[in-house]
Amino acid sequence: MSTPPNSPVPRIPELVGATTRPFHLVGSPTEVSLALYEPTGPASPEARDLAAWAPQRVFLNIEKMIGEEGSPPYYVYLNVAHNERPEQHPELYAGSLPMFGLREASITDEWHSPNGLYTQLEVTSLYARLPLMAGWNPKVLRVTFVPKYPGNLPAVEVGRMSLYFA
Amino acid sequence: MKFALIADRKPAAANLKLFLWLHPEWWSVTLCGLAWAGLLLDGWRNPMLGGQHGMSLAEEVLSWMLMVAAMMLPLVIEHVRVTAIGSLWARRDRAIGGFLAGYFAPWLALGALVAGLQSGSWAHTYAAAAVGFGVAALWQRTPPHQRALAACHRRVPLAPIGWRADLDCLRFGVIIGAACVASCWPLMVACAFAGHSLIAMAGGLAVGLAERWYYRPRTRTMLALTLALAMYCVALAGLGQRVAVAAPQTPTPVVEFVGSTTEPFTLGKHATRVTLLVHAPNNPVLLRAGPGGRRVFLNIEKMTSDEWSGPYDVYVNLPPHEKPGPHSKFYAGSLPMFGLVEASRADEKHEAQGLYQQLEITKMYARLVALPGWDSRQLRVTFIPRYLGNTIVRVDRITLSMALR
Repeated sequence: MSTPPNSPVPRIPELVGATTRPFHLVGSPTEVSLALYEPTGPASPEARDLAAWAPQRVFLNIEKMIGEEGSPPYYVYLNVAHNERPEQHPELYAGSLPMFGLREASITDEWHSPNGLYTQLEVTSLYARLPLMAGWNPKVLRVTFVPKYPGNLPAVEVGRMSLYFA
Repeated sequence: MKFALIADRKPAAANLKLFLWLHPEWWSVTLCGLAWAGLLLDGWRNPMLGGQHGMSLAEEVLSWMLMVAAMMLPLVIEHVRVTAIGSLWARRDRAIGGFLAGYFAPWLALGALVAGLQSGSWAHTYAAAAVGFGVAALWQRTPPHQRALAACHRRVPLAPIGWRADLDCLRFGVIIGAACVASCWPLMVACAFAGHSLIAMAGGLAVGLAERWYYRPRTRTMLALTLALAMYCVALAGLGQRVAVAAPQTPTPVVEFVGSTTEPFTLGKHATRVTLLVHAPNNPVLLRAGPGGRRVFLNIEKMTSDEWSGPYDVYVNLPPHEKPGPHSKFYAGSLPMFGLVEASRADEKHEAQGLYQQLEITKMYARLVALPGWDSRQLRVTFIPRYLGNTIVRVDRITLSMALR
């Protein structure tokens, strides 16, 4: 929530969508749908009327990734059409999930609680392009996770995936 | 939400709105402030009692929860913010409410347990508080405490909407609350034993902050502060500050009249015998207490006379041929008649209340019950004047009462 330069108004993130329950990433492409809700707070049109309001940014958060063993990275794509391979759509690529430290972030001992890994991807420009593409639904965002090295990989549990406007 | 309009019309309102947007934890902080204000006010009104002064079980639990709100909310403000930011905008306050409800639940359970402990007078001493802080200092060095402290920093993914969102907030609160209880229970119990003393609570809060607000807990600071609190309580206990803390409230005595004369009578120059009709107590508490748990009193009420009178000796169930005397096993006590005339006179400022005398006959009553010929339905009372005289003393009533020991 840092204040952007030359702006008296701090950026306030607002949650606009999240998964309702944990899901698992396995060694094959996994698609998860995210229900989106109309922003009613700082990201709402009323708040945007405020002078010097910061430009809107969009963040995709992948929260509390837990795995008992290590895992290779995953690539993240948004709104890949059905029956199409994500790798063939670099314009829909949102970022990657490095899994470095996954096992260590998942253990419980005297010094750690299993909070898992947390990755935030800024998808502002991609999200701005999505409405121009075919099959855009403003109430649902489809996120596809593709393992960098497909195969029989240990499962990674993702606690929640959320989308924020800020 | 007409934010722009508000901003145009009243910048202060817009600034306030922005402030509340930026600080969704504002009402949790207010709650914490109110808890401190309540405890400070209580401490100010009862400076010698350390904030605790004869409270019922419910009041003990309420004080405990006030203390928890005052001391623990500053430690979980980050969780409150995380809960709010992780929820849809319209649900932020509801999510915080769910989190706090869950958070306070484990503390309430511990509070009920501690309130039960505080029914004992030992829990209202600085010595007990000192032991509590000593245990807290030891507890801080143990692996279970470390594990609980690590669990205090856990995060729980929250569903965005629906019953699952409410459940997740509640569950998040319970998880953090249980971890906090596991981490801080000796410290909080010690503060309760110290009578919610402001010094103890401020010290306890400082320990909590040293534990939570840093990436790595300031273990030496925590230990030093906790031991300082223990030494403070030891010093107060040594100085004879019996209580931070007043003794628990004296319970309302349970008393029941179980026998009475039916009409007034007079005492003269000869022995006077009257009979009281007696019944078993109806009060279930007295019934449960049994003969060993009850005290028995003989009440001689409203003795009046126009003339001075000498004292009378009172006997209970005196056999006809038994020689009366102060060493008789039937001797209940004496009725001094000092002030009899004055108490019998009515004037502009006084009513003729007469004299009232209460004789405790608990031990004698227990002996009488064991004697042959005991009749539980009646009691014979004999009044024998100690000196010869012609005064007539009128007695309105004699009653037999029983009270819980």
